[in-house]
Amino acid sequence: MSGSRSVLSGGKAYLYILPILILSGIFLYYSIGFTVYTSFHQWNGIDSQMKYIGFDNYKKLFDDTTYHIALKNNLIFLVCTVFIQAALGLLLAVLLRAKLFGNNFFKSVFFIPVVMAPVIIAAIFRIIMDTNFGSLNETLRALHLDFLAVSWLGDPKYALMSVIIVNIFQWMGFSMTMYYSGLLAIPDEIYESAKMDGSGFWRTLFRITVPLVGGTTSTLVVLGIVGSLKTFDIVALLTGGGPGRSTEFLTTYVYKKAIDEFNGGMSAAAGVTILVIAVVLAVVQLRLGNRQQNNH
Amino acid sequence: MRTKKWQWALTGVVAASLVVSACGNSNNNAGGESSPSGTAPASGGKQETITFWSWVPTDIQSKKVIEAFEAANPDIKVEYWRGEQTDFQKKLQVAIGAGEGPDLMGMQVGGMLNQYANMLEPIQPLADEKWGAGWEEKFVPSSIDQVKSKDGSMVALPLNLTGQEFVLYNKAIFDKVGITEVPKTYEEWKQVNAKISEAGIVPVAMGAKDTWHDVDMFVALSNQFAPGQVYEAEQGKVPFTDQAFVDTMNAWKQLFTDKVFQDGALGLSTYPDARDQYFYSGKAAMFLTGSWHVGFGLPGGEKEGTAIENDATGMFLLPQIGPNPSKAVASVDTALAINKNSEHKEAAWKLLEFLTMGEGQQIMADFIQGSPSKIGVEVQTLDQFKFDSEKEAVGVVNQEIAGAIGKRLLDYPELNNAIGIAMQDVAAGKDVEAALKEVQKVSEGIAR
Amino acid sequence: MFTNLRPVNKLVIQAVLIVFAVIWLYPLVESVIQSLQINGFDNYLAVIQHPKVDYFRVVFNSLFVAFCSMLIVSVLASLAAYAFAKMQFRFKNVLFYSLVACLAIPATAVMSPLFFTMKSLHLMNTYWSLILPLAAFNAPFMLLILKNYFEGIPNAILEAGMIDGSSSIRLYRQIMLPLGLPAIINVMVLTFIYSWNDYIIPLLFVRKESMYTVTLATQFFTGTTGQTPEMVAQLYAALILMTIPSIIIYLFGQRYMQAGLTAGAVKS
Repeated sequence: MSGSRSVLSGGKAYLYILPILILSGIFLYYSIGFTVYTSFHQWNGIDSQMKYIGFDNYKKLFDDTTYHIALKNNLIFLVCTVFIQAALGLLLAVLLRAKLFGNNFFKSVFFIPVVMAPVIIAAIFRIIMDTNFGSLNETLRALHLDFLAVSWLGDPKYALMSVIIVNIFQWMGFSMTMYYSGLLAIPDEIYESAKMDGSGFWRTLFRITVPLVGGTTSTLVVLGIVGSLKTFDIVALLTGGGPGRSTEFLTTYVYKKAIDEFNGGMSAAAGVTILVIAVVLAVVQLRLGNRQQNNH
Repeated sequence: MRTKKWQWALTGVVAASLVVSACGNSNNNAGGESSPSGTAPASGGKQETITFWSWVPTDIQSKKVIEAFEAANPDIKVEYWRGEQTDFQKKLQVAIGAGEGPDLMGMQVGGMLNQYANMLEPIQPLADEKWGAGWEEKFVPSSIDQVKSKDGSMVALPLNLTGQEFVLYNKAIFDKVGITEVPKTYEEWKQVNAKISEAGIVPVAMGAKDTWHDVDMFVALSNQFAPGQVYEAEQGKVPFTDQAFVDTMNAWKQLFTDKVFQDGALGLSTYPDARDQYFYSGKAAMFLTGSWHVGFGLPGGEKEGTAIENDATGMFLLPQIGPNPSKAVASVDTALAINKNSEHKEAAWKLLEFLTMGEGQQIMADFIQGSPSKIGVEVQTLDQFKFDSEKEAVGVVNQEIAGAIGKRLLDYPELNNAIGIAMQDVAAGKDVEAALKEVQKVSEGIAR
Repeated sequence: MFTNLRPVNKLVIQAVLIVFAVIWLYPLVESVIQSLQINGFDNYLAVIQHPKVDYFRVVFNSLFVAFCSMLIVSVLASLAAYAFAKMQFRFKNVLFYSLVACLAIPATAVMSPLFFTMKSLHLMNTYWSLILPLAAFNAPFMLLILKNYFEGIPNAILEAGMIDGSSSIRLYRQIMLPLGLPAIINVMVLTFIYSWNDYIIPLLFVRKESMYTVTLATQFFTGTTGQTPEMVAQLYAALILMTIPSIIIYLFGQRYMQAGLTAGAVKS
């Protein structure tokens, strides 16, 4: 905790922030402002005229069951991806920390999906996950696990789960790498003494490792929140929000309202709610994270 | 040591920014359709570049048709961008919304055309001036009505007409399992499917992930229960909770519970999934699609090189499931419109004329992507089909489209979405009446 | 826990790792196998020699765009992170949180305003129309990572520099950058990957085939080919070819990344 106090002061600080503020101002703040403005108007996304309608878009939005479903799906997705990704990532990182044979190979294998475009991942999984001829179900049938050979993307019961699985496939390696480097910073002596005390694998994991990588977990949670709210490509390409509304996300909702239904105003209103949710969650998480670290 | 690394990085930044600015500049000079320098001559003469975005012509078609246009108009160069519907819609909407976009663009009639109407060049005065009064009579009458926006002004011209709901079938598989007649009724269809299933082949591939396809089914099917009722409901004159639609939904649900459609149909898109992985691979005997697929067996067409290349295929109308005979529903497939903000309207008109009235209309007709919108254009490639059944299918399809019971595409995009979602929900087991209530709720919210 | 493992435990660990690796490799191996169907490596050749999509041009475009946005982000974010981590000024928290808030803007939600911006800046049809928004969308996240890391750099070092009379920019150059290098490399690799993988921004702003990026090219292959078994194999070959450059970049940066990824997040 040696570095949190500021050492420099003075107006020069603003000069250092100015470039990023300009870039964000032009591309991000303008976009936010435009979206907020549009959310109070009736606009089909095409015409040069917008009509002011006050809070009507928001009223309609909060009354729309599709929006409620999108919120719910996003929440499930967020919780699942954040927890499973982190848990799997930590587990594998711990195992990799043993530095056994083929360590670098394993690390690369788990990380490669992170560097693959969602467009590519989705294209591969759409073919693998086909109900009748996909290799996933063919493998399951060959193993006499026919009851597991479900319609992964075509059944509302499983579609959201499938999207979550694919997302975990893509991003788990990121959590793993984060944890792995976090673990490298933990001195071996701590584990030695735990071993002396007769602490087993799981006990050590939960009592010692998990608290020590708290900072990493906190960063991953923020990233998970942000990432899940921004998730679009992978859902749009895997299921397009369907079947029905079973994988409707806030982003697919925003997209459909604007592009498919020409309702730019309501789309903007939904977009604004994404921003608000993200800011609230991110700030809360950052604050909690800071407090934990300060108490540490 | 560390300082060196940093200095190296700085050099990199400077070098990169130089390259970027250089590239930026060279690109500006090369010119886009919107930049003031966009009309800069390419080589010699005054060559004008126009941009054209659409989903039809397809890549193979565009190569031929645009080459022909450029040969006939050496002073015009066409930059054609083709996108699948979803990409096309988002790219176009964002561009047109900012007062930008291509000079000529593909338009879907109904909802899309109405939304874009204000940003499109009125066609009537242009056509009157170039073609003289009475030119409308050269087009199929229904197609001319559909390119008008809600307020009655004409903002596009029809390229072709297509219809739904058709079944593309693999005749070789039919022959192999001893089916001699295509099914005309639901009972016959189920019997045919049972025979095919026995042979270990998927009978019907349906891409129900696409809401557009589900809505096509809704419009086609509901016309078997109460002809024309769906258009009344579209305009808000009949509720979607009407018995006709309950019956339609139940019939649709049956297609899933009776396993007429393959397992997992709701997760499969029509293109490319159902088409490539099921029908073209020879793993499915039938494939639900539109009349635009009837020319796929032509030389150089989609069928070439597939696993079913040497199988005879054919097309028949969706069997009768409801109390009334099955009929096609047809609409203008691709309408073409000129951007109101275009700086090359004259050249764009030339391409539009070429495609709808001129040689381009014939070239497109010969690909059989749809029925010609211009009266008197005859398909000249029929003899190129390898199999008689494929040639006959063109006749079947054209006859059904001529006798269509109504239009295929509905006017209100939010209604399309609502119907599509309701159908997927019903197929997945949701209560029919509850699903229809939601459609009705959306319908009531539309400002007509 | 990690030293003096019993052979049995080593075996168990190895087995678990192998099981997971098999699961993770499965989609990749599956696509490699598919890509070699029918014509073997000729499928790769066919993609490289595709008449409409110039593979090397496409890869160059993506490399160039990702590289430039990477440089912009690392310079801008490190400058700002330096100020937020080591300087005291008014509105610091407000400014920081307002920048971090932009972390969660989905590009899908702001397509129209982005397009307006690009139009008024006359950047249509230039590489800038891809580089700048990608940099802007990535910068807030990278700022967060860098600020965390920079805070961990001991003040004592900076104070020593101040006594020598170094200016703040000199301290940034001579202390923050070298010491923060692991995190900066990490930010560079991540920005590079995110920019490389982005689909929607190129879709909106690219009009010419000569400016296609790998994601646009991928969509081109999935959208327009795939009817014939040969084309399916080619599609897989294309998917793999489009992924190879980013894997190479990762393998290059891997060594540095691991040191940098959480150095800021874990504080002991």
